[in-house]
Amino acid sequence: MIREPTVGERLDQYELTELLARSGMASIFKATDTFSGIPVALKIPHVQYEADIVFSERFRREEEIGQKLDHPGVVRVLKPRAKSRMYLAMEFVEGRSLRAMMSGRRLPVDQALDLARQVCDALAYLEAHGVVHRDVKPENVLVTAEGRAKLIDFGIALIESERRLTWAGLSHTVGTPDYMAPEQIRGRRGDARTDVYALGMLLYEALTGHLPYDSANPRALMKAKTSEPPRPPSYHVPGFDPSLEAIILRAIERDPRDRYPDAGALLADLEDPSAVPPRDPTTGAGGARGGPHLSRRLVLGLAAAAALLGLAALVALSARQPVAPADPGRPAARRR
Amino acid sequence: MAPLEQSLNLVWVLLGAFLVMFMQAGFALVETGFTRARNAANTMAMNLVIYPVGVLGFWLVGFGLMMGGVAEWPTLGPALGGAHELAIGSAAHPWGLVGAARFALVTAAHDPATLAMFLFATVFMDTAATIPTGAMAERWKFSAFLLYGLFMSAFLYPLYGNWVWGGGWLSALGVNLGLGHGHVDFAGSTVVHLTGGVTALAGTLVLGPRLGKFRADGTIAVMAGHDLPMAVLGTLVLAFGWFGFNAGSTLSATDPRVAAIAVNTMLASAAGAVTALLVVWATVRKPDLGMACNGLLGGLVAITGPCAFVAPAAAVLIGLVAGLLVVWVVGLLERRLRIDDPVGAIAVHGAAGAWGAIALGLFADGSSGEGWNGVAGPVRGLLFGDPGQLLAQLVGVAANLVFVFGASYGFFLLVDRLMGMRVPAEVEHAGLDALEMGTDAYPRG
Ligand SMILES: Nc1ncnc2c1ncn2[C@@H]1O[C@H](COP(=O)(O)OP(=O)(O)O)[C@@H](O)[C@H]1O
Ligand SMILES: [Mg+2]
Repeated sequence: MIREPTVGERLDQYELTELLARSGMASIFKATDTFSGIPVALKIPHVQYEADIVFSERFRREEEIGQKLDHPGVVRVLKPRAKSRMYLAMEFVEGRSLRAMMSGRRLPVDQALDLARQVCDALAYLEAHGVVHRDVKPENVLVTAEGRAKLIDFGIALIESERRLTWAGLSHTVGTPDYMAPEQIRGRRGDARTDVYALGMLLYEALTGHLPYDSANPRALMKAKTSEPPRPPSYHVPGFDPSLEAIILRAIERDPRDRYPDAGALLADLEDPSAVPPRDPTTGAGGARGGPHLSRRLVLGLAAAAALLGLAALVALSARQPVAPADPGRPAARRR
Repeated sequence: MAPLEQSLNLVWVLLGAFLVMFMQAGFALVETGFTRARNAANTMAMNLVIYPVGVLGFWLVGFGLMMGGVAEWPTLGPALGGAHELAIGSAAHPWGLVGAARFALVTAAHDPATLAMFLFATVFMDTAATIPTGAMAERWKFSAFLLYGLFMSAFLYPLYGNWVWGGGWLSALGVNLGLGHGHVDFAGSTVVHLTGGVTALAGTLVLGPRLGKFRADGTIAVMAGHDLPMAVLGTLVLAFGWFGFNAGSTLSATDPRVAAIAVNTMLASAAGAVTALLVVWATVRKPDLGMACNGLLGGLVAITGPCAFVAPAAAVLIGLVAGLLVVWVVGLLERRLRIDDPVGAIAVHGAAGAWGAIALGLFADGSSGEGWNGVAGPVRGLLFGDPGQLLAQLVGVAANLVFVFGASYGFFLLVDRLMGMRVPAEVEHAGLDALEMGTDAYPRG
């Protein structure tokens, strides 16, 4: 008979020492590996989920994805020798979540940028392995005392090559839709650009202490996110660096096709934000470095000029054509 | 021709054109009503945009290719500014291929007769051009659609149109080979509707079915249209505009045939609608409103070609067969061939259009068409003593199937290679309105 574990108990090779967190689906314990004496973190689902097939599959996949990955910005998932029940063993990260660090205030720009770059680097690594995290938010980024950011919680992550499992219901009920991308709200599975969106939101919140949409009820928030442009960071922080604003607004574009195509592209801009041109306030365009804009305008201009010239020539030619003989009996002619 | 008669004819042509122009509204309503809410703005956008794009493409190039070879308008008098038709064969028996004059209306700038004919021909072209937007709806990339609008209005429609109405080779089958009066199409069963339907078929084949339409387990998803009242309104708008289409095609207000034409138009549409309604009612035990709409339209399409040459009873028969044909072809395409046409355009315009041409070759009763396409005597079908006419009709249909299908299929394939014909799956799932057009037709709940 499986019951909820408690501190002081032993689970396989681990000794539970501290309850770190309890969420809707699992408890997170700090534990000690009795073989090595090293501290670990165990994520143990609540008992009612033991028999839930969809949940078990999801949980199994979280472990499988974690064990595939090896990156300093991603929490390491361990392989216990034997498992007597469903749980996930990970390296223990000594530190606090980015949510706790922010707690309603802004982070210094340098620190925020440094953390964003680290997460971005981790996301680029995930992409290279075909994994979409889909739940990037300050709660799921742990920061160590040395300032190292680690991504946790692959609970609704996805391996792009694998068959789709429907757990839309689960991902929708998790937390607030603050960090959800518009395409997720519309029920799409999401891809690398979905994580780019969430990272853009994360940077937005870290630098302004606010979110681009604020709405008391989740439904109105979801609607706003899919149908309205975000408030620019400078709305909350007067004098906000226009280059950084351009980067953030491009990352949180509502249409995935207008965002950075992947975390790598976003990282490139984050490495040197000052090189990114500010947004053009009239068109809302910009944020992309140099490139096609000028030549496109030139082509459009030339095409317009050619069309005007061609039309002028046609008008001139038409003026030389014979006019139908006016019938003197016609009323129109008589009136003159 | 007396000046008054000529003026009356000019007004008649213009009035007919105004009515046909209003059919654009009918098509917009039918196609949008029969498709899903998440694509309503996109379907409407295609129906709106095909009109201006088509008008400009036809003005610049298409009209010159189609009608550039016509030297005199039979009811409006001589055309000013010279005509030219590129042809092969001997001078006595030319086979016209394409017109080559009046581009951008430059030489016709001050010629009221040619200008009126341009307006009339343009709205017919736009009718053909807007047919594929229904069959290809809910998955077509907007940029690819725009290119198609130019291709259709500037090249595809004008070429086949020239062969039948511009003095081209299909109209010369009678003079040159003795096949009846050559291919006869009074108001456009083949020139307009078969062309539109066949192009729709080619486009649908290149695009493929909407996602989720044909499931792996062999079942077929019902993707019901979102606004049946809209589709019904559109159908009635089309039926109204069709009086301009058919009766206007006399190009003459003083031609007494206009009464018979209008009556035949009405009768065929009624027979088509009632037939489709009853057939579906008998098979699935529910009177299917959508199918009644398509039956009505099928009757109209079929009578378009023969309306001036057949008796009222024949019009009812033609409409009846068209109604049956529409029901049958809709089922054949969806269930046998697995071709996804959201609005039934291929059945309504393609199948019924071909039937209209053949029906003329069967039922034309010799009451009119004296001297048509330069051949002495009235137009008679097989049942009234002229098997050659039926042959000419079949040649016209075959030429359409071969040329229009081949050219449009090639064009769509090319566009697919170069820029892609279809929106990404993600866009299709979310709806083209949100992601392709950037706006919803209706507020999302
Ligand atoms: N490896 C770890 N080291 C330290 N703390 C952790 C670790 N994993 C999770 N936690 C703590 O548990 C909390 C919830 O973990 P998470 O994996 O996000 O679970 P959930 O899926 O319930 O959101 C985190 O916010 C963090 O405080
Ligand atoms: Mg979490």
